[in-house]
Amino acid sequence: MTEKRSLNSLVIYPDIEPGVIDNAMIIRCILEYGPTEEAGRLFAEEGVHLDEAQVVRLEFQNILRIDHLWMLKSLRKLTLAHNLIEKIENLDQLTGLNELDLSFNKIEKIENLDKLVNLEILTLFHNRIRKLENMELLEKLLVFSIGDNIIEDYKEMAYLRRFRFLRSVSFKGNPCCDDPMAYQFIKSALTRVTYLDYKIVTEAEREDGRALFRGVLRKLDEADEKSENERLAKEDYEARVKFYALSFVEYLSGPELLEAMFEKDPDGSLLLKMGGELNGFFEQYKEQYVETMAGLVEFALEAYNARQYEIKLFKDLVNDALEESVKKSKEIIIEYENKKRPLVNEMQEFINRFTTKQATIEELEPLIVDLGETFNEVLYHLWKSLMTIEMQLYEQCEESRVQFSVNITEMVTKLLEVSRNAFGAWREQEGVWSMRQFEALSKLLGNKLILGDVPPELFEVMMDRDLMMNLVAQSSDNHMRFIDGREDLLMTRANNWRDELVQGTNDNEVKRNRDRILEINYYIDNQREEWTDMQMGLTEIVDPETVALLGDDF
Amino acid sequence: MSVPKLQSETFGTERKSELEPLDPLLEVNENVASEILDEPDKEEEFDEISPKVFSLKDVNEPLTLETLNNTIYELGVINLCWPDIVEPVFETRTKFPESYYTNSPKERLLLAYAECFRRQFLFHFKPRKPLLLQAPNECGLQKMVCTSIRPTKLCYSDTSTWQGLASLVADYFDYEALSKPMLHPERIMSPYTVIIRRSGNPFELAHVLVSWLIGAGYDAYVVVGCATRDTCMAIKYRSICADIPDESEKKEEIPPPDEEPRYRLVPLPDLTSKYCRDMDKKADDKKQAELNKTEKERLRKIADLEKAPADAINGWRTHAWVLVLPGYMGIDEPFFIEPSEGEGHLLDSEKYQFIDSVYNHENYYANVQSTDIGLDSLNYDLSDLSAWEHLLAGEPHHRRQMVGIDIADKKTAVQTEKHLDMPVSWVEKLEISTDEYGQRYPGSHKVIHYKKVLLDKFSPYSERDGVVKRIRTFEDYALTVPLITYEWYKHRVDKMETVRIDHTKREIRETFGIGRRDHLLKHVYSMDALVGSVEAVRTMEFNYYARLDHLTRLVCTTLTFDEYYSNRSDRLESRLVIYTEGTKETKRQIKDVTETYSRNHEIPSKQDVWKKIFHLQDNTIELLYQYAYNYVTNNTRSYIKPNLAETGGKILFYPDKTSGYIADPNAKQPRDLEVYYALCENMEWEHATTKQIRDRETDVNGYLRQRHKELTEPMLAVALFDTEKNEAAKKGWKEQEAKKAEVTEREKEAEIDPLAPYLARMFGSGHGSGNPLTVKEATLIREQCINDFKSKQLARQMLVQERFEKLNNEYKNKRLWYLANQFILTPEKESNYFTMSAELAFQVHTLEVRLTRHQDLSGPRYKILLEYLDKHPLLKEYNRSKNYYGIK
Repeated sequence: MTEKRSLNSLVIYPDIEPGVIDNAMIIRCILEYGPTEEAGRLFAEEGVHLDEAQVVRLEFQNILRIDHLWMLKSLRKLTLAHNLIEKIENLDQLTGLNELDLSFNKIEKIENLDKLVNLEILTLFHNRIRKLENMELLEKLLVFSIGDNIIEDYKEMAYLRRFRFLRSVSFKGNPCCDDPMAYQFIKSALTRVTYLDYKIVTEAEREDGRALFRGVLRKLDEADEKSENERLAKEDYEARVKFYALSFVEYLSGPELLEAMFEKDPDGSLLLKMGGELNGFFEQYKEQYVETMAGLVEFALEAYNARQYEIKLFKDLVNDALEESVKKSKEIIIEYENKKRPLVNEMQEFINRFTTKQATIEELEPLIVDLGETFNEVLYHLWKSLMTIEMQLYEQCEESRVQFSVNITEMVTKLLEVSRNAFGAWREQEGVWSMRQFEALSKLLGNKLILGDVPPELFEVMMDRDLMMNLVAQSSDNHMRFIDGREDLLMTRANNWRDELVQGTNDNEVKRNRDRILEINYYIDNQREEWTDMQMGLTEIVDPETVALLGDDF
Repeated sequence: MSVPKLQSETFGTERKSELEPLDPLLEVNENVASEILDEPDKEEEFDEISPKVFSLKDVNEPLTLETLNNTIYELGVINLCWPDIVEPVFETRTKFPESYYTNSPKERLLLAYAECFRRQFLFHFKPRKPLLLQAPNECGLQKMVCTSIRPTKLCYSDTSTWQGLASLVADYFDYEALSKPMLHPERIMSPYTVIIRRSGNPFELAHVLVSWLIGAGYDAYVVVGCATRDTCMAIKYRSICADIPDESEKKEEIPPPDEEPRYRLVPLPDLTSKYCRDMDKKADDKKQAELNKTEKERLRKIADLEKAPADAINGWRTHAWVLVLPGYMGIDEPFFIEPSEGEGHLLDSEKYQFIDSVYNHENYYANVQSTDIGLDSLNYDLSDLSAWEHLLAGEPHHRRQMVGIDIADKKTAVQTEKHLDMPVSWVEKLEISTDEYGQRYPGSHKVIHYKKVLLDKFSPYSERDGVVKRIRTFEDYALTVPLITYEWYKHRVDKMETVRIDHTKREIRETFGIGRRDHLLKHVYSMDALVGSVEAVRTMEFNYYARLDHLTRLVCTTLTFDEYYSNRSDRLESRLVIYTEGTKETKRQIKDVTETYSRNHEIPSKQDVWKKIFHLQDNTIELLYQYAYNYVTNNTRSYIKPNLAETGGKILFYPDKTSGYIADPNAKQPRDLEVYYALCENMEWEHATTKQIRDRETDVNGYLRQRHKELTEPMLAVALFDTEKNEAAKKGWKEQEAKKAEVTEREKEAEIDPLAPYLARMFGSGHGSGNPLTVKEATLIREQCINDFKSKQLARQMLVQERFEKLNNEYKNKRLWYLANQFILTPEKESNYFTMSAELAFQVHTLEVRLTRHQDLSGPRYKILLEYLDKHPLLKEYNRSKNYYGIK
């Protein structure tokens, strides 16, 4: 800070000297745009909490470089308009950013926006941008302003077709705007955009453009459709994998995994190129595998549903019990408050009598002590009741929790057993396949006539018996390792899941129990403190001796 | 209750003359009949009835024609001679179709069949009552009962089910008990006449109902048999009214879970003494048993008191009702319908004691089953010949089961079909018009007296306030101390549907249909409540869905005003207001306002306000926040409001004027700025809330005023398409037509030449296009025309003036009358006065306008006439000379 100031002191007009963003500037801007009057006083007194600021406006600050914004963690709206920024950078931390205004700067390229996935409004008005790029990940974009830049080819705007939520685009002021075709193209190409340059686009206008650019648009449409289909297929596939992963059997339905296994095993796939009889065996192998795994998948899905049901049963019980206990506790607190009210009134009465000099402290003292004792009794009763309820809840649920973990473990064990069988079957099939492969290949070994049209590497292998045998053995080994790996994965995941669930349930319950006890005690303390404060209100006016006396008691 | 006066009746003399030519067949041995009944001692008490056939005594009287006829009637003997009835007269009806006073040959044959059947039946079942096979109709002609049934389909919305038809019959007709309770009815009118008369005996009502039921597709039969006295005489005041709404709250029992729950809470140890509990239970049981016993005793006594007095001829009272058999229209079990009350009864109903026979338009079935068993254990399969004796063999055709009959063989086929079937009914179609259907009750009104209950039924639109049903329950049997009155309304403009007046609690409960402007659904208020005051005890429920403010319920008392809301976007659930007690001079003041909000799960509980409590008199605000998960205490915050007058309207923040509790021990204390913002927000909110409360009170006052007006001046809504009742539309059509006529009239008028009548007088008609008149003629005509015009204008002015004065006087008189009497008028008269005076004022105004208009227009009109005359082609000569001489 001091250094910077000393630097600035060398400058003739420090106010207009370009610089970077610094802490002082941010705080100044936040205060400047913050609340006013009484609220402003409180705001300033408290000090600025950078990590809580939601809106920051850094306008006309002659900023050269964006920096030091990572502190503003909860920023939702950032305005950096009317500065001298040349490059978009250092915004990666601001993932919650919803609105970004970079207008009236000197930006030449759109870049470094990939982390701002929640961005909805992006304003780049009056900059030096030539090309629309690097915005693929801004999927939520709603309003986009690119006016007054130097985009020369209006076809560039087709880039915006990918934003599914984009509704408003402003474009005016670019060199290509002089071309009368530009607007017609944009209107027809950006079918989802409702407002262009803040004016509504009518259907007739779109139609005009469509007639002009039929060919281009068709190409664009096709490309879009293709990418859209791919996207959907991918989403679909991922959703399916995710769904199967819940039952620990992802990729196991269908021949997918077997094919992956062969892909990873170059020897096996090389031998497979032999064709002929081998293909038939391979098909058979695949069929058997699919059947085995289908059984496993089916069982796993059922097991998943059963587990979910089990969890639901348990959760329902626990939640109902908790609800009931909370209800009871609340009733007890209301009861307590009803009991406390007359005591407080009585106390107030004493204080009144004292302040109006109707009674001396000596006269009142025994009464106050009595009252305090009554209050303490009531409070103790409250504490006891609340603690009893909590204890009961904890104990009542304990047995169910144990039962639950036993049941879940049992279910997982059962699933693992089935999967062991399935994988065992797979291994067997693999063995059969390996044997058949070997037999089939042995028949052809060295037979140049038949081997004439196979790939050269395979030819080489088939000429040498040892090499072939090695290859078969290696392929088989590879496969076995692959199968083991997959089985391991399933088992580990299932066991981990179970451990986490059981442990988590226990931990949550313990934490809940502790929180509740803490809360109860905190509440009791608070109540006691309140009472003492009230007494103090009386005694503060009196001599310190009494204070000491009463303070000891309570 | 009084036993109806039963008169010993004989056939009238004119009837006797019809019966004079006796057929030899009729000479049956009456002694057979004297053995029918085994009730010698009953005879004496009921000598009023003197059914001689029921006596064991020898008939001592000489056998005169009269006694013979009487015996014929009592035995149900069928008269097989065919009297000539030329001019049938029944009550006021004189025009009858021919079928009413003549029997077709087929009917005659059927009657002969029936007589044969009767004799055979008598032979086989001597101790039974005689069968009812025929009865004279309103023209005095014997008709077989089956042919009196005329199946007809009614086409109203509720006449396709038996329930609808039965209640229609019960509502539509007055019930006439049989004058001779043990004998057959002396006449059974055609159902058509019954519908016209709107009154009939049980047989006639059963005929109507069965005709309609068969028309609607049911397998229905008329049952002739015996029933209890209360049933036969349609006495209801010993039975409980079934229409009283059930007000006992229904407890919904939660069904126990299907399977044993896998997880359960460990039950808490039970530390109470079992011994004490057992002893307590024993004592309780004992007490309960004693109570039960006294209660039982009390109930028994009540039952004793309410029991019907003994009936001497119990078991012999003739009655007719309806039997519906399964197989059609989704009926699974046979059951009875009582036409006089329109309700279905199970077969074991205590109302009915015995079945003699059943019949419909297709066949007649005599019951030949044992008389000892109850009605519910009878065999109702009519095709079973061991249980039911058929009058016509093999009828109806569709019930026949052909076994072993070769229809292909012509002879067998002819033999099989060679028997009598039921002739078509002699009655016209039994339709009723929409009007009559709508009117429903005879005279638009029906009263039924149940036990401690009076039930009034009115047809829609018949009452000024639209009431259609009223049930009054009473404390005592004499109906003097009212308990609760229920009323049902229809077609009211204010959508009121029911009213329940509790006379003991002095509480009125009104319910409304949806679609009111204020969306009121239910209004409960005390009978003593001040009209239109929010400070009375009342509860209003609204259709919150249709209201912009989603107000669901309003509960007012003298010192509270509670509003409840549902599904509001701002999550406000209720706003409870407590007032300070007002004195005579000052109105009540708001003391506390408590607003409750539901939990908004989108924000953390520490920001989500649960209750806002404004102590307006103490100048404090209390905020209670929502409870977080697993917390039993909630955050609170209380403020003492800063005095805005001291700070110049600015809200300043003093840390010592606010205090709060944070439930989470680990949470930070809220920042001053947040606390300050909450204070500002809630001070504004308090202001807005008090304004809303005032507005709401104004609203509610408006609703209550509107309700008062609706209650005192009820209006009924008429459907737009109801051409009968829609007076406004009718008037509109008439006016439209009149206007059209007027327009055409005026068009005609335009062509009229004002000179035409004078020309006609001078030259005869049709001079319109003649030669121009001479100056002399023209002067004359012109003079006449102008003079007449002037006098006519004057006369018109006088007329209007005269009328105006008359009406104006009348209006003033009325006004004076009203001013003098306005405090003693009934609301109805008052509203009448207002409509009339509005009408009068309008007329006076109209006349005034016409008068001024006339005065304004008479000058120009005169000018126009002169101009017209100046240009008239026939007066050309005259005009020229006039211009020439320059005379006026």
